[in-house]
Amino acid sequence: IDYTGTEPSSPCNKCLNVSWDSTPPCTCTINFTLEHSFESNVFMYYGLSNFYQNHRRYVKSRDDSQLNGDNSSLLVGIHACVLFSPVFEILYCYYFCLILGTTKPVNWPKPVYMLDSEPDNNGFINEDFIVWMRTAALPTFRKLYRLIERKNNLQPTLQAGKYSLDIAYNYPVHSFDGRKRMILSTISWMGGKNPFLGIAYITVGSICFFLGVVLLIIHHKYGNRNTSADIPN
Amino acid sequence: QFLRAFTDFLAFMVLFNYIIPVSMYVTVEMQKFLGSYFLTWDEEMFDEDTGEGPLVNTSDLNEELGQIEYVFTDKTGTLTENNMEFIECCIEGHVYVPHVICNGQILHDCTGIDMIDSSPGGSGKEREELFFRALCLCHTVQVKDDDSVDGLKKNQLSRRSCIYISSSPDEVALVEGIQRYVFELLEVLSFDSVRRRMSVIVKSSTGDIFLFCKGADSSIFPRVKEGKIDQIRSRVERNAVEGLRTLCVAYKKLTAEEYSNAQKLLQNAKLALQDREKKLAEVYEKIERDFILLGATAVEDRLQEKAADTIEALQKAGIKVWVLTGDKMETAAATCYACKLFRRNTQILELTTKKIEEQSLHDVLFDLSKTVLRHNGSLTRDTFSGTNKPQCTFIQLTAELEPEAAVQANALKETGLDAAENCSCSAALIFNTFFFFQIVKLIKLSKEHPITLAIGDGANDVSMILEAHVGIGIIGKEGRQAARNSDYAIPKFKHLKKMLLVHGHFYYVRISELVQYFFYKNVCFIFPQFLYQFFCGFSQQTLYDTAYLTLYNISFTSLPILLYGLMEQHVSADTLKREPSLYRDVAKNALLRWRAFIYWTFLGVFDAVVFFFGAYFLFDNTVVTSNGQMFGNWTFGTLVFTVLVFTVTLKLALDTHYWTWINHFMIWGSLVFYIIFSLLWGGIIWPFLNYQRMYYVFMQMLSSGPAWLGIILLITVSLLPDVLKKVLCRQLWPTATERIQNASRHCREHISEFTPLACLKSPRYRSSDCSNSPARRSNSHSKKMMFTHWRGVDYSVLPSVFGYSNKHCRSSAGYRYNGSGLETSV
Repeated sequence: IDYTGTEPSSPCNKCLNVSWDSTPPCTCTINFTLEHSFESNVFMYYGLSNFYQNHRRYVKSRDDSQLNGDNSSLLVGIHACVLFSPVFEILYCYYFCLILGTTKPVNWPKPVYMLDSEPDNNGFINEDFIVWMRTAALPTFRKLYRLIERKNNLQPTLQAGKYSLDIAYNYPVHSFDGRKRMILSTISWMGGKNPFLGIAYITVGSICFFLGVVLLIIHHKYGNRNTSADIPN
Repeated sequence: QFLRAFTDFLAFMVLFNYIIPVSMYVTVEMQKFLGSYFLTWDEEMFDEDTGEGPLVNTSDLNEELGQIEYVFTDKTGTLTENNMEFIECCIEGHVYVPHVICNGQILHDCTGIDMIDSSPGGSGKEREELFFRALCLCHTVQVKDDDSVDGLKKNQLSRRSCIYISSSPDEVALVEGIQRYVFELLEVLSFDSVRRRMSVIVKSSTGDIFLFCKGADSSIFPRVKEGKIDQIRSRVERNAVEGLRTLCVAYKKLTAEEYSNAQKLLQNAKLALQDREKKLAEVYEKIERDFILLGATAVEDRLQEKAADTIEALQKAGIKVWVLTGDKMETAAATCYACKLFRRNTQILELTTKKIEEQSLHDVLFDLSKTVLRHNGSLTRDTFSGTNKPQCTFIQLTAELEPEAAVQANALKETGLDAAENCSCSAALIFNTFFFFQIVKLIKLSKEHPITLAIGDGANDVSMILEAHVGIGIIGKEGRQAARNSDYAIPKFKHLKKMLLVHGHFYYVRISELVQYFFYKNVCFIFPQFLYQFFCGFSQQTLYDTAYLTLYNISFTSLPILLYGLMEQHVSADTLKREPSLYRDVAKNALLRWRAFIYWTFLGVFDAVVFFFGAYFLFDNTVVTSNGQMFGNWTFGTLVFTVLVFTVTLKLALDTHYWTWINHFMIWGSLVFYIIFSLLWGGIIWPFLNYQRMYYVFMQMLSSGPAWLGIILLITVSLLPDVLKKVLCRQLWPTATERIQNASRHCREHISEFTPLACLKSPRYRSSDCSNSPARRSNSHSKKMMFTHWRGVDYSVLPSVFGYSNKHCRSSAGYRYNGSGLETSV
């Protein structure tokens, strides 16, 4: 489900021009319909396109000691600064300043230590933050946001029907032609739906089969010229 | 802005510098150095008689041994044994043959010399005596007493218990034959290769002063005043045709006055500070004249064992053999026939000043050579012989050069060489052995810049050995100067065959594969990195972890190729030795041509594209783990890297024809090492790292089913074109002959033509024939077990998930042994 809102018909279109630090954040609601019910656990992802999380300066600026909860180091690179967190209730995504702890990051609605509700946390040990900090390989990526667990065996996790999604639209991506999405997916042991492996295996398999036949023909046609060479060792 | 661009440029430099494989130089050096030991260890090249094996003085030229186009060989001591045997002598026209008559049979290997005196006594006796005196005296043989360790006394003692040491083996032979007189030595006019003669002035016990001179016929005859010249000359020529080395002996009686004059002149010349050589030569010239011809000797120098066989093999291998010698032309020709350099059907067309006048061959050639050479009155002989078949044109180029050889060499260059380049063998006669190297230089600098090899045994060959690309010394009787100055030294000429045809061939194949493979694996390595730049905003982000970047060339992929470079025998050594024509397949740098390079590079790029986009589509915005987690960029890189390491190593396994347990150990060992390293690197929190991007990345990747399937698929796909190329080239050889320079394919051809057993030592020969061939999996039964295990996994797993047909599993399973490495590692 795309909620970038560049199309005028999108309910999120109104949030496009809203500044990112407005309080309260711009919210919009998207209605969608599930055609089939989701039987097993449903994974909820947020997706971004054209967002170069794998930029070198970005990847380089990660500081593991801070992420381990060591608060003495005060410098945080841009990696953490560009926190895009589409928390749908408290959707925030901000550039923030380099000094932590002393001042509130300029562009975050809350200081870092408020990111998590647990009292003994300094804000970094936060599932959303951890997931975010694992840099994506490609500019179009998605990240796991929430897991909707199956409550009991009788009912599907999400039944077919109409749903609506409330979005706090915080991070404008149209400035770099990005797209934002929300994805609901079920997962087998193989992971999500990916036709590539199947297609590739079928293709390669049939190529191999075809080559096998061709080579067999060649072998029979030309092999008898040097039958003496075919004595196995 | 400018600074930004500059730093970007530098960052890209750092990122992509791996494409120039620095580690290749290290590996190549190691391969060459260690590889040269294989030559020294070769037991077949060990000579029982001398107790010497081959010596390798440089390891830089190993692969050149596989590229030789011209072989220049010295005759005496190289082609021949340098073990002189006294055959006959001719005094005053009478022939004396030493032999022992034993029960009516003539034994030629006699020790004592018993002259059959076919001449009536009288005046002949006197001459005989003089002749033998001359032979006895006119030499520089030194006598080494048995009991004294370093008792090299410069005297002419002739005791039977003594060992004779001389710079010339003919002299030893002569002296051993004739041991009689004691003279007082006055002067030695020493031998040199320009004068080609030497003289001694001695005073006999009666007080008479004699000058004895011996030397080549051409230098003696012009100085002879009296004696039976014609008879002796004819005898000498007859001997020369039979391939015997001839010497002429002359003497002159000096009065005391003449002697003192001569002595004075010599003294002056010897004391001269400037131009001593020149002045000495002038004095020698003055003294050595008006001889009385005594006679001539003939000494046989047998061909070395298998010299003919070797030369024949070299010619079959497409190598042009030139024999350079200072001997008489007839002697040389006889030797050339004996060692099959010339065949019976070879039509010898000679081009000499004499012959040209008679036959008027090659007018242009002649004119050119004549104009330059006439002033010297010397002879230039181009012997030109050819069968009508164009591919085996023989040219015998014989040139007799006097000291001003440089000038004449130019003449030769203009004249003989054009023709000589088309021929497969030649013999050059050069009076002055010092100018051997001129000929070598001529060929070396000719248009095509062929790789030349010079082989010789004596000090006079050193210049030639140094001049040629590859110099080979024979550890022979004429001292070790040649061996010491050479790049390689071998005990006998016959070893040259194995050295070039087997070792040289192997070295070349190994080094070319090594170099190509290095570029291939680095293209495979870096090209995904390049592609990745398009997906990370051109930000110089590395695809692989730093540890992987560093260790890829150092430990993951280095040892198998080094071992390949040392051990590979694409065809068995016996086959190579038996079929010299295989050498032609690697001639002219066939395996490192542009076509081969482009093929390898293409293969590298193809593989890289497969790795990268395979991983790209596999990860393309989908979840590939069972717990819903997404993979990060490091996992992406690790997946690509895993496929890369496996593909590159298995590609080498496909190319290896000669499997030893070390090869198995190295190839599978590298893969296992990679797995273990990755597990450790990501599995432990290393205290010395301040960040750890790879933490659990590898394990997480392995926990994902699609990653496994993807790895196997990508390895298969990337190896497919190479397998296909190999199979097609092998199978379709009748139609693709010109495409294939592959010697192994030739081996296959030869098997069918000659011996079916030849290639069976290389089990992987047909292993890549096609997926239907059972031989493919027969390398080791353990692998086969893994293989079936894998197939089992595929079968059980795939249908349950995707419902795919089993068919593709089976057909692609033909190539699936590739995955076996993975199985071993987990």
